[in-house]
Amino acid sequence: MNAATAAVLVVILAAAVAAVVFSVHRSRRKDSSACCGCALKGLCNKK
Amino acid sequence: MLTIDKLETGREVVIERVGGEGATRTHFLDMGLIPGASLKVVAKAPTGDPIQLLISGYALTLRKADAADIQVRDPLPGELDATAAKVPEDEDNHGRNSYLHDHNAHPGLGEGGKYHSKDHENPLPKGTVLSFALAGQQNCGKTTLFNVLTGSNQHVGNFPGVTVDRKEGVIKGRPDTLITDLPGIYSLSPYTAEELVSREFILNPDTRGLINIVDASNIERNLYLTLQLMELGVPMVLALNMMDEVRGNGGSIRINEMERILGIPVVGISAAKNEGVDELVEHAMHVARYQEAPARNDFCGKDDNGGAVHRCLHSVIHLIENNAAAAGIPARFAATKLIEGDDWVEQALKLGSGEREAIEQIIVTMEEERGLDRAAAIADMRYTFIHKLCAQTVVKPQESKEYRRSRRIDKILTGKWTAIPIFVFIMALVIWLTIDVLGAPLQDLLDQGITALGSDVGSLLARWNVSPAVQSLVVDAVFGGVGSVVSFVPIIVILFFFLSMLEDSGYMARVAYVTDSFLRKLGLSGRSIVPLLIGLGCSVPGVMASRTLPSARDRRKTILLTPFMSCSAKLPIYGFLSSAFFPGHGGLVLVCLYLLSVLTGILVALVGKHIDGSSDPAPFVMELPNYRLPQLRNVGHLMWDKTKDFLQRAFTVIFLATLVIWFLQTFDFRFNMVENGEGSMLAWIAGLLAPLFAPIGLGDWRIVTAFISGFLAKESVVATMEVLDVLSSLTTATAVSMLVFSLLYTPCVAAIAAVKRELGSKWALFVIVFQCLVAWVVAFGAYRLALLIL
Repeated sequence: MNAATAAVLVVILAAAVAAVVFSVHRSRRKDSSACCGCALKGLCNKK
Repeated sequence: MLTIDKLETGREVVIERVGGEGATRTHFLDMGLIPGASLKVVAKAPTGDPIQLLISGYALTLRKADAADIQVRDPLPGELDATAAKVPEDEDNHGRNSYLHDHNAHPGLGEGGKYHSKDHENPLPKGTVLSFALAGQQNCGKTTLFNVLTGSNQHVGNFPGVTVDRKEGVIKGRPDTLITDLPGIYSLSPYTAEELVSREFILNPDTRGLINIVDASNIERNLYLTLQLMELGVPMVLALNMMDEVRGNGGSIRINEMERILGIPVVGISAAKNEGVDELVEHAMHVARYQEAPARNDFCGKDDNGGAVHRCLHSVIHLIENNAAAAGIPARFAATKLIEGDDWVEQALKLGSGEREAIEQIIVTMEEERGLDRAAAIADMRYTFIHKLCAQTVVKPQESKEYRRSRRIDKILTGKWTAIPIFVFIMALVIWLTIDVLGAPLQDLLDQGITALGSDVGSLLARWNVSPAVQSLVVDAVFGGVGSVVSFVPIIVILFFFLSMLEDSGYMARVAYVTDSFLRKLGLSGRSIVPLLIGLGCSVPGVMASRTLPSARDRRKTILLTPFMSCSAKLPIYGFLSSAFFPGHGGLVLVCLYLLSVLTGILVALVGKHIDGSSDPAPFVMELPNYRLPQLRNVGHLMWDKTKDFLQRAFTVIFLATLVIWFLQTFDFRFNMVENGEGSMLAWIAGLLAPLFAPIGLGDWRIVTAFISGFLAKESVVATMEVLDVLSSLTTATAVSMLVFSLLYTPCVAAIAAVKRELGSKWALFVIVFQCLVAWVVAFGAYRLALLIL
């Protein structure tokens, strides 16, 4: 596997992980615009 | 005996007796249909049923069958012009608040400075999160205020019951607050599921304060809920919304006087124009922080109609005081609900048999003295107070220009001969504009851009000597799959643009009014049309919107039928197959598919009605909002929300599904790459199910795979078809079969989750199996027909 292949794979895997995390976050937030207290709390603007 | 159903249009009468029973009757009373109230028949639906009434300055629709329960009489000379007597102020407040006596002073309730006495203050500890409930009747502007308060973009509509779930947010600039936008309720008598949700939330001890928003242009009926909220003893502020409309129509409200009489802070606002909202927040924060409960919670006058209700209520309050304290329910609220016959309150109070008997005797005595039954007597007591309050504080305009304009428009849009043709024309126009005129060119443009980008990226990867498998992953899965779905964004956005325009203008409520008599034949209510039409956009909000239906049976039927309405996520499938097999006839294919879905839905509803064997659906009691120009901000918000939602799904669920499908179709069980998917893991799994689809011409594992991916998200069907090159295996007849099966088979997992939330797991499973069966049967018929014709 050359470096370019590895790099593209890493990018796609990172995107997949981000998609999973975001999907979980979204389902936990439901309709609330307040913080849901999940692992992405640090990225949240709300206290 | 004269009843409302027998009245001709334009006749003005006075209600003499309200018949009916149970929750429906309570709802009639809550809506102001009480003995002594005057009303006018303003219009009838094209089939003569339902009837549109004007009562207390607002338009209410009622089915003839329900209207037959309400006895009326001609007004006595001068009766309609009679004004209410002076309000018996503070006689029941036992002199708690001296400012109630001073008519000239600003009461200053909910304010700091000189108005705030430190002698009796009871502040919450610092750092306590002030949790507010935003409560009000339907279509009074709650969500508009919520958006202004929190800076969020919740969908706002001009249809009673747009908010079907609780929404939470933090008030801007007040990090220690949490405000919850509750669905609209007419009273605290649990009539619909949403009224129950709201009532339970308000009664929760964590709720520190209430913001009660009322439509000032329809204040009498709105205050009916206010009085019940005040009985709860929770610190609250009254927000008089749409004050700009009231002033614009020559009306006014003496806010200080109203504040003095009610004993709660009253603030005039215009949520849409963000006027008075800062003052409202200040007052709400103050009453919640210092836990300042309403100064008045008693609305029965000692001398009102002989004082029978007053004596009854206070006797019951004394009897249940201990039980109410033990149950954590305010005694005054518990007493009124007990008299009204609220089962939930009766059970919560855990009364002994002796107490129950004594209370029953008190109520029977009151009924005899008052000449009204218990529920009507309590409603009459509240409305008597409201009429007196309004006589002192409200200068109402004769007829708002918004109402006059709505009446003129309604003559055409709900006219006897024009209503149905206009409805069909509008829906056909929406579909035609969405798909053919605006959507298709924009979609082509986006598709060309994505294809060009995918090709450039493919060339770049090849130059970098990236392995063929990874090149396929990027070009086929990411650009081919996700990219093809993204290209449908314009169609989705345009469809929601039109749907939100129709809703925001107030037309959707008229559609419910006009279609009620037809839907009743299917065992549904006119209100079912809204979830069904929303289902054309997306089944998830469609299923959720069914919560506005008051009857559990209507709700269940509507939920089960909503997925039969073809959601916008299926548009890419129709577009993809139409352009390949019926070029130039995309619009016609779409209209046929939509008609087929509606016809199948009707057939299922009729069969359901036959199996169910139930009688007429629940009553249709609905307020018709005035027409208004759709607000660009609302429409823009909704379009942005839907676009964001669609893109988020494209880059999360659909992206992941595409990756998984690509992986399963590229490798076999030994993780060796395979050619054209043959021998892949996916081919093996889908091959197991393929024989089931052979009779409808879809026995190819790739097609089955596309259907499986569609269960995750309908948009994935096209992505999978692209990745697996499904088109090459289809003929025109099998394309017809695939279109029909895609149209009708199980909704996506998100919609199933919504059904599960509303009806439970058994019904969710039923929807999956039932829709697949129906889809199979109809696709079988369509396939055989296509083989004969094509």
